[in-house]
Amino acid sequence: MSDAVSHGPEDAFPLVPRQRFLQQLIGVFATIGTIAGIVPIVTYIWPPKSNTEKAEESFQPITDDAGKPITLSEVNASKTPVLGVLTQGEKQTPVAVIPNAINPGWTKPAPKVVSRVCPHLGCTVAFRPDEHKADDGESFPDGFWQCPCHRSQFPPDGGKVLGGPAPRPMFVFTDVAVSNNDITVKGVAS
Amino acid sequence: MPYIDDLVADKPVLRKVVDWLDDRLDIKGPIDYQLNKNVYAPTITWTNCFGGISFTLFGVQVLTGILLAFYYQPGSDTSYESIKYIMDTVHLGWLIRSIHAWSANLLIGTVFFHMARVYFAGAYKPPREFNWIVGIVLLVLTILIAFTGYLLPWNQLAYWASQVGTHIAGTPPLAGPYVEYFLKGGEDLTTATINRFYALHMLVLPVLIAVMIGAHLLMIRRQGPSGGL
Repeated sequence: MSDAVSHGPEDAFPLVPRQRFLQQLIGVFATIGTIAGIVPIVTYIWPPKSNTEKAEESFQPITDDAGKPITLSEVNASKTPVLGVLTQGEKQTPVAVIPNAINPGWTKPAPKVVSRVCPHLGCTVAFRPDEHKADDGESFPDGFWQCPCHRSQFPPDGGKVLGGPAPRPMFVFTDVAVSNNDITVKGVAS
Repeated sequence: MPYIDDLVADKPVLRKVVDWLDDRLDIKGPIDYQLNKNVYAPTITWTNCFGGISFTLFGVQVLTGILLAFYYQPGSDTSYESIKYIMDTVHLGWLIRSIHAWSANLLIGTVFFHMARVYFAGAYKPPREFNWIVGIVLLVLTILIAFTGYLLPWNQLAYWASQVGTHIAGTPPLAGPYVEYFLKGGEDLTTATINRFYALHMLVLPVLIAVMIGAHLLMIRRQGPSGGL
């Protein structure tokens, strides 16, 4: 094969050391560049941990705006959902406790807790005691939920969509416990 | 460009591998020929790069598009959620999706500049008419793949842009309404529209574009770049 090795000028002018060094430097940079391209792709493809795995693992109390825990007796005395805030580390989620009195189908001992974050685009849904007729024709004498941003509507227990662009009902927390009369919640709203 | 034999001359192991492959595939000659073929250079300037840039961007689109398909779920109640998941949760998902979106915009620009350069250089003239025609087909396919991709995030911008686009497709007399019905997959813009746009965007159009690029490159290789005006 040695007869084929005489096409270019490389033979006539052998590489001087600094040329050889620059060639090797290019190789080093090419290797670094290749790795820098492959690593992000591999980490991208690798399945990320789901939200539930990172969820707060301990029960946290639901508080009012002043930071005072909301009590079960307070909820039972109310005719409308009781608004509160769930604080999990740095993260605060607006939530609402639904009194069993206005949630007849509810069988669990602790009251139902829903997230007030609108499943449409994340605005905080407001409870409107002054509104009585939803877009789908149902009436609610004590009011219902309506999002101020795009008018998504939900019944007082948040269990279905009455109107507006919301893709699904309000998020329901599955782990709710009552300790020392305070209502506590575990898990993260999706 | 050096010849393959020169490159492996002082690397005995690599030379054995190259010779072993060449004995079976007889590939050294064609590669040497392609890498050392002379090209008429006096009229070539940086403006001639835009075809190659478009080709590179198409490669970027294929790669990032495949990566996005790992997480994207077409459907009216999953599209937006899965995009949000890619942007917020997936490691570097925001980067991959942003590269895909920005390269798509750049691709339209470079393809258009490439066409303008060919036009003003008169490079469409004989014997290159077929390459011009293939280029026009590629321009239409590129616009179509951008249009079908635009709907997939299923946000307000996507929804209304596609509403307008499909409506424009419905305006010509006679055939118009049928085209609009076909594009939307029904009377309205629904999950059926997303699904057919997704199929067009990631299966039909990329394959067509790849075939057309093949023909485009084959012709330019055979005919060489034009000498300009």
